Amino acid sequence: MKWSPSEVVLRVTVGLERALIALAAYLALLILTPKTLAVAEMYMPVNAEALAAAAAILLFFSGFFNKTIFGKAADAARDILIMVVLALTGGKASFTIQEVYVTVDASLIIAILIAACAVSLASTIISAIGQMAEE
Amino acid sequence: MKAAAKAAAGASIVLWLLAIGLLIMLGSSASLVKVSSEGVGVSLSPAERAIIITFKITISNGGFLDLTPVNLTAAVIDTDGEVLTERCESIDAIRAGSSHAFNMILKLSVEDALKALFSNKALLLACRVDVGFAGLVKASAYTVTGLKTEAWLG
Repeated sequence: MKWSPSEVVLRVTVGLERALIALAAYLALLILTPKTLAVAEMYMPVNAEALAAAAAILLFFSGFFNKTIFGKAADAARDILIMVVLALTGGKASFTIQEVYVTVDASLIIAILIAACAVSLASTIISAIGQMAEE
Repeated sequence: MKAAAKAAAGASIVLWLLAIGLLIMLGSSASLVKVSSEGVGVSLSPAERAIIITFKITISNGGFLDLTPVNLTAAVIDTDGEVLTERCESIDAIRAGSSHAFNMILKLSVEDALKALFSNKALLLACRVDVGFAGLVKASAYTVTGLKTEAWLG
């Protein structure tokens, strides 16, 4: 992988652009979650900041190594990270609104998101195999 | 190989959009569901040797998804969590744009109430609502309030 300086700059820009998506998603989550519905009791294996940071780093590498085997590895790692986090949350959240204790079970939606990540992972693996075969 | 990878990537995007769309639809519909209760009435029935507790809970579904199924459970419990009396009501569905009122009547035996009071336990009214949003997402909510039956027991 011998890249010219201009290509490196371009790749850094693409990487930062993708990393910004993770940060924007995190900020949107912060803004859209009403303060009264603090989803404090939703089980999260990692805190949201760490998850956003990990996703941003993986997306940066995915953009930087775009169309290379390292980029595919970063994409696969991103999909696996999201799948594991979604699976561990279990889709259940509980919160309190004015002395009413509410529990929501959205496991069906979590299952759809996990399926989306699994299909995306399959796509990444297939394209990585294709690329390696071509090389 | 490339075509398969592209098809899988497309399917993944479709699934993401489906899940996000469902979340937005459920969130906006759930925010339009209102649960209200009318004051708890407590009276004594000497013939039945029971304290009759009555109240009304109305669930109005202002959203665009049917609430199905809907289960309502009311119980009188003591501070140790022991259930003294319980009543469950359930209906198949509350259609979008309609509402349903549950008239709850709980009969608490005077002996049970006295036992709890002599053991220095307060009586609490617990109410729990379990609903499904079009069978896609389940939600349950409960609330516990103090019950003043002492006046009726002298």
